[in-house]
Amino acid sequence: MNGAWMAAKLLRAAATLLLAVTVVFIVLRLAGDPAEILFGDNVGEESLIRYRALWGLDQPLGVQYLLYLRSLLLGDFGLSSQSGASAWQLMMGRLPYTLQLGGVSLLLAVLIGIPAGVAAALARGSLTDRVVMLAAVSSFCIPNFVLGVVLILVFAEQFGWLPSHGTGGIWHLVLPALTLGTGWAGVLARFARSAMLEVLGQPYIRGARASGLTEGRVRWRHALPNAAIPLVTILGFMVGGLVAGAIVTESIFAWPGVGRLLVDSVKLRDLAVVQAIVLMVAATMVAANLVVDVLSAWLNPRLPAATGA
Amino acid sequence: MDVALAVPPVTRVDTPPLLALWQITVDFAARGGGMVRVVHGIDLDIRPGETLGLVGESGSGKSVTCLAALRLLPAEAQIGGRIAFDGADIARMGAAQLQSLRGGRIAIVFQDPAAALNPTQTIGWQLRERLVRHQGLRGEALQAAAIAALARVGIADPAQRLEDYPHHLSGGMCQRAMIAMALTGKPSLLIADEPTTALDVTTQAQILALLRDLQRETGMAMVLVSHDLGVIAESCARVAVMYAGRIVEQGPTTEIFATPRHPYTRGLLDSLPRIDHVVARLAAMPGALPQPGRLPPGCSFAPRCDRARPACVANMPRLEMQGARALRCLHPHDGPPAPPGIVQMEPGADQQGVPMVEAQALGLRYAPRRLLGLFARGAAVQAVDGVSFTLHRGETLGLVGESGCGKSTVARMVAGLLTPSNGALRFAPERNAAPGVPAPRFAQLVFQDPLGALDPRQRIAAQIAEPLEIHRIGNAASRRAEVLRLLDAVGLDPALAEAFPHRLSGGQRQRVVLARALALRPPMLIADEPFSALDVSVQAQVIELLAELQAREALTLLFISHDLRVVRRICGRVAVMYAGRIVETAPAERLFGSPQHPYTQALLAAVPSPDLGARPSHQPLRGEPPSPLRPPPGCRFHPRCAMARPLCRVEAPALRELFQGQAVACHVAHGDA
Ligand code: SF4
Ligand code: SF4
Repeated sequence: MNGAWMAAKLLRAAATLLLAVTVVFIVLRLAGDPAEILFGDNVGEESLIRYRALWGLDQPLGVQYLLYLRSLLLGDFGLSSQSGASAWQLMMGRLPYTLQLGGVSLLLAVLIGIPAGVAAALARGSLTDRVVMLAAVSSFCIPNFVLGVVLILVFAEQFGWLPSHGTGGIWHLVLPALTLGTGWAGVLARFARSAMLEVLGQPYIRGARASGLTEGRVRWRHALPNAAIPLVTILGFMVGGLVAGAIVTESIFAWPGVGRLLVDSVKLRDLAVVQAIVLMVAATMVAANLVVDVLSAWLNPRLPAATGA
Repeated sequence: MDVALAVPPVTRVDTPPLLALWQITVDFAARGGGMVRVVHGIDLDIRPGETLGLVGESGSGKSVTCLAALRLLPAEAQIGGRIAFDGADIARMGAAQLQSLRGGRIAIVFQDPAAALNPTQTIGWQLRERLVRHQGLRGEALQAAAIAALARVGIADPAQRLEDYPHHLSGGMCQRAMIAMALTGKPSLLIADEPTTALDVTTQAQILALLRDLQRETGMAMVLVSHDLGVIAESCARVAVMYAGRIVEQGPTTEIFATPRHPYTRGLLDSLPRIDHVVARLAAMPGALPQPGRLPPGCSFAPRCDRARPACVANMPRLEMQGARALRCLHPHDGPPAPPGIVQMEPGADQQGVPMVEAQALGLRYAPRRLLGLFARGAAVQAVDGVSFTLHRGETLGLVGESGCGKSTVARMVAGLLTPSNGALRFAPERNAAPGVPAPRFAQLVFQDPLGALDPRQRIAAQIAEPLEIHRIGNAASRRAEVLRLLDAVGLDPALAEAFPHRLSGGQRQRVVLARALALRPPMLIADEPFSALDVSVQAQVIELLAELQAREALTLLFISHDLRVVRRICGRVAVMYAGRIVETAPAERLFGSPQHPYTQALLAAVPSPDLGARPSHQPLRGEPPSPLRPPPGCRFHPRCAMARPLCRVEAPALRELFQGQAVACHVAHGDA
């Protein structure tokens, strides 16, 4: 991998992030005067003016923007209008839960979806193939809220085997992770199947077979690594969209993650927290993209990054 | 149906065949259900050490037959008949046995070597994998064997190349690497399926020479599959001609090429333009190969055959033995073909005529690519450098050279699709648009790939009329009449006007593209490899059509091609390009008759000829064209030139006129030939 390429990618990531920050800034200012939103009609004009001076809201917009950037760089995302706590700390307190839920769901999706898709491709047209594809299509056609409710009804209400909400031990994770992971597994299975089929039709696979390599070697050492290239991109999208994807599931299972914090904060018009979460989501997406680029370059020597030129 | 007839071998009657195919049939699942037969009972014997050529146009079933022999066809294909290798029945082999046979005693190399190598692994990884599989090597011995294997197929710097990925290597290098991999199993039979089709002509000559050398060294037998009769003639002792899934003629190459008896074989030979003379008119066979599953009754060739009689349509003739030859025809030709009517190619227009295009020291430089406008990646590429020529009215100028030499870039600059970064282009006054702007009513560009050039969702008539509509010429009725006139001019049935492109064959599509290019009645046509996607028999038809249109409409033609045989047939004057520069230009008669530049000479010598006695004695040109990123200093040809002198390394030769109309860029050429 070469330095100039990496530097260019990092620069692009930084530029994207700056764009996101700028958009958030503009949207926040469009939403109205923060002082008024915060205090409503409850305080006098004088306190509003004092508040504005305190936070620099009386400065020209350009100065405000720079002040905003500076505070973000210092890790200051403002205070929650509800609890008065630091928005950053509120969010970071919830992040581990989302990461736990998202990580387990994703792992589940990868471990089930990719092998199923590959198996379907290798047995194309067989019963396995049709069963896997039927399961995959139905899994991502069922919305998470439906699946979540059904799982709660069956495993928590009916049989009482598993807890239906909140956190605690590993058992609390099972139902939400299943809810979140099933759809992803379906998507991955579909992509894995088509990627694998595409690669299996390439001349170099025939070439590998023609040179007497065993079918196992042809599949696992020649076909699979090439099929992994598009899968990495899809996985990157999934990681990037993890927080947003978890919102519904976290709400159903009362899972104390960032997704639920976001929903609550929007309801309460807690702008500082919403903003912190939006920026965090943007940062995750940018980071996921960066990781995808690096991984793809590593997997695919044809990409310009991999060539030393 | 055919009777199974084992063909007697040409040599060593007593030796049992190495590979014997009996009544091989291959059926594929048809799109609308049911099966379609693409191979109809092939009988072939390959004896140890012999070279058999399998020739036919695309769709004749030659590659499918080879893949069937190794059971490499997709699982949906059904193979019938018996395949015996050294007495063992391949059809009954288990997976393990079959795997050790493939790449072991029978190896195969494919067309398009760059695609036949795994793009995400290095050459070394793939080569070592095969060495482990077939020779069980490990550790240092493995690495040493890998280096030796690459060195053996003529790859310079083998240790370095092992670290490269396939996309780092040229097509020729990839094919050498494929051959090295094929040899790891020490095969007694090598199947080479169109091994040089995707390669340039000098590279093709190198690869064919390499295969011949390896064969001599190892004594392996070889099946060479090719659509090119010249390639077959130069390499094979015996040849089988296939048509529509059957062998129609077979026998010793010398006999078949001297006295082709089957009308199809004869037609193929007559369709091929020659490099040493110009035939008055290529005897093109009408029509095209029938689709599998839609074979005509009786002899499959009957609809295209000028000797067909009622009996031919009644029954498929059998493959009959006549001594060492086999023939499937009821009314074959007798004796050698009539000598072709050779003509002198006119330079086309008088050189004093009005210039249509004058190119002066034309250059095109691509700036290095940048990331975010900051980091320059790679160096600037000088794709074309100091190219000058004049194209007179009514003249046909051929621009030839191998891929990457800059010929297409020149064509695009003349067409106004690219703006030259140096030099000047001057046009006849009727091109009333600024240089660098396309002027469709002055010159039309015809590309390769007729399928890509046509919109699949538009009827043929609409596509031909499109330029007329854009330029608001005539009304609906007059455009309609014009479309019919154009269809007629390019020899297409007017009924096709309402068809969609997918219904047309490759040759018909190329005719449509021509018709559309002529719709605005431009005085000039720029054709960039217009025939390279076509089969020989269809190509001959379209070549004749273009030659006829050129003469009739007095078109000025700039013809870009890598195929010197086609250029020989069409062009009055030729310019040869190498690494972005013109190295020689001359009237066609002169250039083909007495080439002066060492590169032109090597290029002509590399063209495979179906004429017997023209077997290659020369050493093929070594090396490959330089990367446009780092052209060598001085004469760009010097690293490959056998006549190079110290001066050549430092000073670039200018184009000097040696004879009237023949100019050469070489320090050494004196024109005493
Ligand atoms: S059998 Fe008849 S139609 Fe067929 S090639 Fe011979 S002469 Fe022509
Ligand atoms: S100038 Fe020298 S190197 Fe170039 S072609 Fe002539 S002899 Fe060869």
